[in-house]
Amino acid sequence: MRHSSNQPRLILLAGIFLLIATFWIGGNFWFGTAVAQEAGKTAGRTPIVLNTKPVRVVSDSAPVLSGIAIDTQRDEVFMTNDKESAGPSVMVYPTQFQPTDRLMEPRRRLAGPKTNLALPCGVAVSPEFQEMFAVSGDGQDINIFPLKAEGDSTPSREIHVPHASGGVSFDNKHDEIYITTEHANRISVYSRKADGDDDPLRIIQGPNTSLADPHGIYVDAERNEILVTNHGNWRKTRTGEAFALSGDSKFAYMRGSFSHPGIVEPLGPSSGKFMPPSIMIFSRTANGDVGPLRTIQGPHTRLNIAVGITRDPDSGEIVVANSGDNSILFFDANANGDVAPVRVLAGPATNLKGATGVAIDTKHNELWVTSWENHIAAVFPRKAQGNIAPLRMIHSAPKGAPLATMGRLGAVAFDPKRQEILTPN
Amino acid sequence: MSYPRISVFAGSANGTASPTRVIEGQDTLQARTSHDISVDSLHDEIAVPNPFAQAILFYSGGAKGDEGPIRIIQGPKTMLNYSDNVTLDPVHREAYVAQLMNDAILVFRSDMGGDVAPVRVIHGPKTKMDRPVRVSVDPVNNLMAVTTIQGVWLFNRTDNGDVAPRWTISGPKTGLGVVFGTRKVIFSPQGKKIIATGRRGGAPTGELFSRAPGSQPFIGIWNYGDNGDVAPWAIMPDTAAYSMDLNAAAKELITVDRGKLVVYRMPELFQ
Repeated sequence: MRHSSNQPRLILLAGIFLLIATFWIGGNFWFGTAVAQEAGKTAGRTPIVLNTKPVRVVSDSAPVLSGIAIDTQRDEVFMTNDKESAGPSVMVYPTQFQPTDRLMEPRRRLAGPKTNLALPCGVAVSPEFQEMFAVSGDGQDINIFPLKAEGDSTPSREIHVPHASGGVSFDNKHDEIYITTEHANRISVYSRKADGDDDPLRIIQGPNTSLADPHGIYVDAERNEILVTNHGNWRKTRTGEAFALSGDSKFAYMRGSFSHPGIVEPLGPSSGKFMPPSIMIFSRTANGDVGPLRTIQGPHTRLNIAVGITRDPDSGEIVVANSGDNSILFFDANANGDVAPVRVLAGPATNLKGATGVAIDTKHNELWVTSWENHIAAVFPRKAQGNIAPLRMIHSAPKGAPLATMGRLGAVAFDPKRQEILTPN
Repeated sequence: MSYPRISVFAGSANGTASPTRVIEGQDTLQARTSHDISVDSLHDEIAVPNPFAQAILFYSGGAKGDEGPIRIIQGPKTMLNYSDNVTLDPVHREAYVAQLMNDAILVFRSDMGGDVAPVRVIHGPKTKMDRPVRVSVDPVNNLMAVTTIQGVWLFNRTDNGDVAPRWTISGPKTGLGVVFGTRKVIFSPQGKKIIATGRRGGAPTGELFSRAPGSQPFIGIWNYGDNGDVAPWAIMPDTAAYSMDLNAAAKELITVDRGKLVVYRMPELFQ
């Protein structure tokens, strides 16, 4: 009889079920509903489930425009959106469009968990090799995509780099990728063809470099120079020092990461200090603990949280996005020391509010600036200066949208005296 | 890339509210990576870390714009390393820092600046601290909580040197530890509760369990004295938070998660 022949099997299945349920509940699964708990009794405790809904949420879903690179062959501009509440992404727009004050949707948007973008800061492009390079201050990879990638695409390859590498530039002539790492005061140079744990070709790192929280980077293959912006936060680093917070790259093993114990450093004297913000110019082929060729630094420079940097290939002018005072500064090609900019683009007509990225469209003689806070990319004449209005703007948020204030919120504190909530970026 | 700043919102802020003030600019000496912030409302001060200059920055409570710190702890004697966190104890005027790279907790006088040595250092094999990332203090009940790779370590607030923790909350039933996504742990001294984020479920994938497919974040609440591999007293399921704080008067839990400020009314935490 079928019924009687299945009975032992049913008993066995019931036993297996009870065994699994025992381990299930005994592990970190507490799918039980609310139950009364005796005070002080913790063994076998089933947590009370609190399905509490938020009473307030402060959020801004409009993308920001931050890092920038231009493909003059296809007349496209690539910009990063590093705002966590707005779906971090790389957005691609046409460089030529009719002026509008309305929200403009990107031609392509690269975003999603497969992209490994984290919070993308820097972007560079190689029209010749049909590739795009993206780095994240929150990640530990150079993510390389086909130029036409969009949607939730997997990178064609990933180069494992130190955590918090936020600036990137590509040298088409020598086929090399240059990145900055703020946590390690380091510049790394990789072959474009590098993959995975491949070593960099060269690094610039160590006390003689004077690198202090480097951010934006631009490599000039013709003048054989590397240009870097520094915020000025300095500590002594060893040449070769780096770490990754998680993952299984070789950097994750070097020091104490979340994924591997690494080396526990002994307590010792602190070396940190504040230096004035600067632009450093290194030899393109510099390697190891070597100093810059020149340093633009001092009160006359007006440098204030300078982020993005580029160079006009014709004039050699060094151009920086000075996020701290909403300006674009232009320095002479050979500027050195405490020198004033040769011209400044700033003022209410420019619409700049938190300028973080800058690029030159050599084909159309235009200067592009990303303005993080007010969700715009502004296009100016290449030689713009003073308080002038942009020729046109890309808006990534509707007109009247509140200013962006939160990128990645790292912490929160409540001030009971002022009844205020404080949160750092 | 976004730039360093502290945004200050009204406690009742909601929706697309703008900050009432922002502390930003070169003179503030902030770094882009401020993973912690603490308020001393008794003395009207704010503290944030600057890990790249190995410094703790103190601002006046009402600071705004490009306003510089009123005091800085920085220098060789401080032994600050990659210190991206700070917690203030307003009652005893102390500042606590977890040192990821040294497996140590440094305690400073918070009313002193410059090149000052810590007044206490918790460090050594008895502590069994492995990659501590955040520290919190309950000055009322004299407790200190340290988030480590494996869970939450509870010490006496005044512990010093190579000391064993008073108790730990660690193990698979807890879902706690940096590998489970735990960062800031907070105390509710009135309710004698410990509040922390963790993850549960999913299939373990080596050490990076926090990324295990199918695992879910939660905010867990433990009672003071819960010791060992013990499940939370209560959980908020499917709720993530990178950092948290309490508004005790309004009985609110304030969290940040994926770029959002999220506020819950949680009287349970204060009972």
